[in-house]
Amino acid sequence: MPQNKADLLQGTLDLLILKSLQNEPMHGFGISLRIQQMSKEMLTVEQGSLYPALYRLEDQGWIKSEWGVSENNRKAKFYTLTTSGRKQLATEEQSWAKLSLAINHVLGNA
Amino acid sequence: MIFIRRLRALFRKDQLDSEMNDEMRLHLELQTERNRAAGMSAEDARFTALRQFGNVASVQEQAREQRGFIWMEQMGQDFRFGARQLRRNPGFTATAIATLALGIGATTAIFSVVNGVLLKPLPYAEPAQLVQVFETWGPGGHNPASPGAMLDWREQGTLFEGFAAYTNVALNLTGTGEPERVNGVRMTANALHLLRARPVLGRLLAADEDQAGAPKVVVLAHSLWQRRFGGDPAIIGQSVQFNGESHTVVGILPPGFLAQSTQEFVIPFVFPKQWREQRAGHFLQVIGRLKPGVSLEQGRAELAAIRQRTDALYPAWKKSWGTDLVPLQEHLASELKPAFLVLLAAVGCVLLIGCANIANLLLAKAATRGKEMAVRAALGASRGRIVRQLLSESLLLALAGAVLGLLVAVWGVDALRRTVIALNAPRAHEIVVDPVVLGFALGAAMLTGLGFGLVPAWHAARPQLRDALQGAPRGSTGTGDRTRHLLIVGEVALAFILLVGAGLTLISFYRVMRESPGFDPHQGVTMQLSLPEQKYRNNAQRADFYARLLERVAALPGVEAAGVGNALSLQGETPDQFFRIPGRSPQAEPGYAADYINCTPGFLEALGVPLRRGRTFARGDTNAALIGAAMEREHFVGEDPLGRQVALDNQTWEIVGIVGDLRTRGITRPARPVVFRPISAADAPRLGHLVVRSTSGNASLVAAIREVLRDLDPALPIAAVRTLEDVVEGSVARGRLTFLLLAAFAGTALLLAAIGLYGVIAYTVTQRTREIGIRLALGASPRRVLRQVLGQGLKLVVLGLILGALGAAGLTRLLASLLYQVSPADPLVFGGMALLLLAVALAAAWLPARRAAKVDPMVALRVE
Repeated sequence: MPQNKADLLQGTLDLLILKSLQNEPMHGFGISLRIQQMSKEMLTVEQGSLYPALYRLEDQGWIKSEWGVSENNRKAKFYTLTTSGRKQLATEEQSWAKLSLAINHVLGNA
Repeated sequence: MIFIRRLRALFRKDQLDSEMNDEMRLHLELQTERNRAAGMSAEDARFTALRQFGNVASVQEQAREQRGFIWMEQMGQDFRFGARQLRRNPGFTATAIATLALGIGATTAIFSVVNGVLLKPLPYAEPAQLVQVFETWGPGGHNPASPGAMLDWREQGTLFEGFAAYTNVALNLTGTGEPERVNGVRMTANALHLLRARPVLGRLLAADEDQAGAPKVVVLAHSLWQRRFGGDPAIIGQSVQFNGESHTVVGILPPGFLAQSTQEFVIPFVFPKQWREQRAGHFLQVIGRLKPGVSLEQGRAELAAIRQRTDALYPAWKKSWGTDLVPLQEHLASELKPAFLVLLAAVGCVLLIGCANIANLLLAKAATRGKEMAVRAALGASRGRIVRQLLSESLLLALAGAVLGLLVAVWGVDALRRTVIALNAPRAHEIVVDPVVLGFALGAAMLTGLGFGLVPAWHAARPQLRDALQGAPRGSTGTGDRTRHLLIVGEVALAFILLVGAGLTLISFYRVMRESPGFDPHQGVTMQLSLPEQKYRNNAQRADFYARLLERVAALPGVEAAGVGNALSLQGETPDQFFRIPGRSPQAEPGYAADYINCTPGFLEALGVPLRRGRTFARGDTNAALIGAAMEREHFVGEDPLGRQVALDNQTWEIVGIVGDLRTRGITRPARPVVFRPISAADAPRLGHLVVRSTSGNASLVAAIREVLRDLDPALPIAAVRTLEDVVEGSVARGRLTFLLLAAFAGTALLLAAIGLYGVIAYTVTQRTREIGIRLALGASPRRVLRQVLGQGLKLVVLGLILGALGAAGLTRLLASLLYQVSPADPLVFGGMALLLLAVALAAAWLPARRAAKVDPMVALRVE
C-alpha cells in the first residue's frame, strides 16, 4: 500500500488540518482522507499523528469539537474551524506562500 | 479562556480519555472498512489499519500531552508510578523510609529544643532590653550578686529602667488537700513589672509589698492556679497557706510566664535592713532592663563605673570582683545551648549519612533500571521528564519519611522536654512541636528528598543507550560509580567526625564519673525539711527539733550516722561568706570567701566525708569550726590550722578539725575552701538537709524516717527524698544526656556508613562478576581478588578518614565547653576512633570481597 510519498514538512500538518476544515466540519478519519485527496495521494499523514495535532489546535482555540453522527450512523467527533482558526489559516497560508516562493527562488524554479 | 478550558480538561480527565478512545476506535474501524472495500481479507484489513495508524498508546500519550496542565496529570502519574515502584521493592523502601524517619525525627526533636530554648524570643515584652547581671570573680566567673551590690546598681544606674532580684524558693503549701512542697520564686516587687507581666487575673506585686512588715501576698503561676485551685477566679483576695502562714492571692500569671516550668508562684522578696551593707554572700539572681536605645556595652560600662565608685568604700575586699551583664535570653539558654547545638549538628550529620546511603541505593537501582530508562528515552521521553519521574519517587520517600519522622519527633520532643524539665533547665516548657518545628521537619524532608534524589535521577536521565539496550554491564568507571564512591567518602568522613565527638565526650564523661564528690555516696539517703516560721520561730526551736529528730533517727535499726546541714554538696547552693583569720594583718587578707556549711554532729559522718586531722563536731560544740582541705592548702601554707581561729559574721571560731574536700559547686568544679560550723541554739537553718547512712535497705529506711517525722510533726512535708548516689547522678545528668545522645548518633552514623560501604562494594562486585570470573579463569588467585576488592573499599575509607580527621580537628573545638579534662584534639580518641571505623569498614567490605573471591568462573562467564 505505501507508495513513494513525500514526507510531511515539519509544522505543515496544522496548516493542512485547518485547510481541510475550511468548508465543513469533519471527523478525524475524514480529515486524513481529505488531506490525502487534496494532495493527490502525494502526502502521507501518519494517521496517528493527526490526533495530537487536533488536540493541540483545539487547545489553542483554533478548532472546536462536538459529538455527532457519521455518514454511516456512528457516533463521531466532528471538528469545526473557529473564527480565530480562520484567521490562523489565513496567516499560515500567507506565510507558506512566502516560504514556498522563497524556496523556489533558491531552487531557481521561479 | 484557554486557561478555563484547560482547567476543565484537568477535571474531566477520565471522560476526555474515554472520548479519545472512542474517536480513535472509530477511525480504525473506518480505515478497516476501507481496506476491506479495497479487497483485503478481514484480518489483513485490520492489521493494515493499525499499521497505518501507528502506535495507539503512544499516539494517545502524545495527544494527551497537548492538553493544557498536562504536567499536573503527569505529576499525579509520576507519583502513582513512583508509589508502585516503591511497593515493588518493599525492602529498599522500608529501609529508606525508616532511615529517613529516624533522621528527620531525631533532627526535628533536637531542633525543637534549640527552637524553644534558644531561638524563640522570651515571652516578655521587648525582650532584647532584659539582661541578667552578675558579679564576676576571677576564676569563679559569673556569680550571683550580693544584696549590697544590687542596691548600688539600683541607686546609681541611670541607663537602666530598673534592677530586680530573685531567688528560687520552695515552700510548703498547706490548707487545701495534701500538704505539698511547691517551687516558686521570691522576687522584688518590681521584677514582674520589669518583665512586663500582664496578669490573667488580679494584679502584680505592689511597690511596697517587698518592704519589711508588709502584709503577705502571693501571685500564683497559671499551672498552680489550675492544679490546686481548679482555675477558680474567686481565688483572688482569698488567702492560702505557705509554710503555715496566710498569703493573700493578688494575681494570676499567664501560662508559661516563669522561666522554669517547675516554678509555680511568686512571693515578694523582702530585703532585711542590714543587707544594705551585705556585699559578701552572693546569692541574688539579678535582672535589669536597659532603657530603650541603650546598648549592652553602655550598660556594662556604667556598671563598671559604679563598681569603681563603690570599690573605694570597701577597700579590703572588692578589688578582685567585677560586674558583667548578658542578655537574659542568652543567660537562660546558656546551660543547654552548647550541648544542643552540638547535638543538632550531630543529628544533622546522621541525616546526611542516611541520605547518602539512600542516594547510593537509588544510584544502584537506577543502574539496574538503565534499560527501562533507555527504552523510555528511545521512545522520546525527555530528560526532564525522566528526572521528574525519578525525583517524584525520591520525594515520595522523603514525605513518607517525614510523616513517620514527625511521629518519632513528637515522641522524642516529649521525652526531651521531660528530661530537660528534670534537669531544671529554664524554658523547658517551651519545647513543643509548633509551626516553626513543623516547618523545619517539612523543610528537612524536602531538602533530603531533593538531596538524595537529584544525583541518581540526573545519572539515570542520561543512560548510555546502546550499553543499556544491549544489556551489557557498564564499565566500573562510569560516572555513577564515581558519585557512589564520593558519597561513601563523605559518609565515612562525617561518621568519623561524629565518632571523635562521641569519643571525646565519652572520655570526659568517664573522667567526671571518676571524680570524687568528696563524700561517699553509698548507703546514704537524704531528704529536705523546711521548718515553717510560725511553728519554729527561732534558732533554739529549730536546733531543738533537729536534735530530737536525729536522736530518733539514730535509734533506727541499721543507722550508722545521721545529721542535718544547711546545704548538700554538689548542688551549687552552698552559701559563701567572707572570713578573716585573726592574727593576720588586714593587708594580708584581701577578703577571702569560703563556702559555709552549718551542720549538726553526725552530718559529715553520714555524708562520709573523711576526717583528715583533729576531730569532727561533738554534741554541745558551739564555737568549734572544721575546715576543708582546700582551705588549709590555700590559706594555711606552712602553718597548722588546728587550734587557729577563723572569723565569720563578727564571731570567731576555733578550728578543731580538717576534713576532705567537698565539691560544693558541682563535681567538675574545683573544690573551694569550706568552713563548717555547728548548728546551735544561736544558728540553725530553716531549711535542713537530713542525711542518714545506714546498712539497711534504702526503701525501708526512708519509710522509717517518714514515720519518725510524722510522729514529730505531721504537717511537715518532706521533699527531695533521694539516695546520695542519686545526688551524685543528678549532678552529672546533663553531661550524661549529651554523651548518651551523641553516642547514639555516632553509633547510628557508624552503622549507616558501614551499610553504605557494604552496599557499594557488593554492587561493584555484582557488576564485575564477569570480569572477576575471567580473571579467575585466567589463573588469578582468589586471595588476590579478595585483596583487590578489599583494597578498593579501604581506599575509600582511608580517604574518608583523612577528610574526617581534618573536619574533626576543626569542629571538635566547638565541643570544648562540654569537655572535662580532655583536649579536643586528643590523639588517643582520634587514633582509637579511626581504628574502630577502619575495623567496621573492613568487616563491611569483607563480605562482598569474599563473595568475589568465590566467584565460579563458569557461572560468571555464563552471565554473558
